[in-house]
Amino acid sequence: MPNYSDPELWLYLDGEMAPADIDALERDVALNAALSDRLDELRLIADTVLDGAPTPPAGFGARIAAAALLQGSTPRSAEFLDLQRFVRRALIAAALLAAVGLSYLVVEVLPDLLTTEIYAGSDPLLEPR
Amino acid sequence: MTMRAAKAQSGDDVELVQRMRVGDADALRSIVERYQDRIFALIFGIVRDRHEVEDVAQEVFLKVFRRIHAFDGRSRFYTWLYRVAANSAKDHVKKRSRRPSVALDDNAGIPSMLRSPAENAERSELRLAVRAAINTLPGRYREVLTLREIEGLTYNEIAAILRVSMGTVESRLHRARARLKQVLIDDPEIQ
Repeated sequence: MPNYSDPELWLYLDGEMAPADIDALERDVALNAALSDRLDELRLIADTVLDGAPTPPAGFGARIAAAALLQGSTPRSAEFLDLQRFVRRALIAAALLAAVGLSYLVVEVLPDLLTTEIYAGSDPLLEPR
Repeated sequence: MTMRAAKAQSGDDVELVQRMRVGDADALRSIVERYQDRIFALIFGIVRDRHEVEDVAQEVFLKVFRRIHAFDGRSRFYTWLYRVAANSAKDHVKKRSRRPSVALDDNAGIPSMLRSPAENAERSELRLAVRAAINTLPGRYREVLTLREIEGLTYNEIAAILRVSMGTVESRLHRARARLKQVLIDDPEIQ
């Protein structure tokens, strides 16, 4: 049996195989029942992916259009969306700055404060100048 | 509908998109009617619970209408629509409480009249096993599988929808399918 890997067979089934390779594969499939069975098995896997998908109910489009009007879901302007994006980015930047500031306090400032409080007055050499 | 037909329709989408931009709900209805089957299939492929598909689909189309100005026209409309739908479905899965996957319906499709009853039974069993295996796949694998099977989107188109590289699409598809195949190999009932 010709030695095709599954990824190669999937490329063929997905229509992504190079034309020259397609010709060779199809020739081999015509001559080899086992290879043809392998392709059938892979096709079955592909066909099953959407098994059981529901169909939209009748009048779904009209219902959505009505819901859009009822909920006042009017399209937001490009300016509004830009502003929304700007505010979101500004909030993220502020949160990052706050996190960096807090980390600095915890790592750099807090240990110094604690050390100063513990040793202050007990050893003149350790007292802050 | 084939991908070619969808591409032919994308010209008509431009006019509907323009109308939606000025708040025309009839244009939204036309878009819904044009894409509802594919959007239901796409959401189902990711959510895997047919009872939740309609709610998510409604949310998708309303979101598309509200945010139509965010569509800049650089890509095709359906690429953007599928991206909104895939993201909404993924968000829905994240929000959903961690309950076990819902079993799919047991209707295994119409058996082919060309096969023997024994062959049909075997194929039905195989389909059920594949469906159960799909439910266990991580969401990122289910979404590429679904986009691929909805109407034969190319790897390039799937990459554009998911905003990942073509190599990522290829490797996710390969891993997802390898897992499905492994499940079938491991299942002694299918042998």
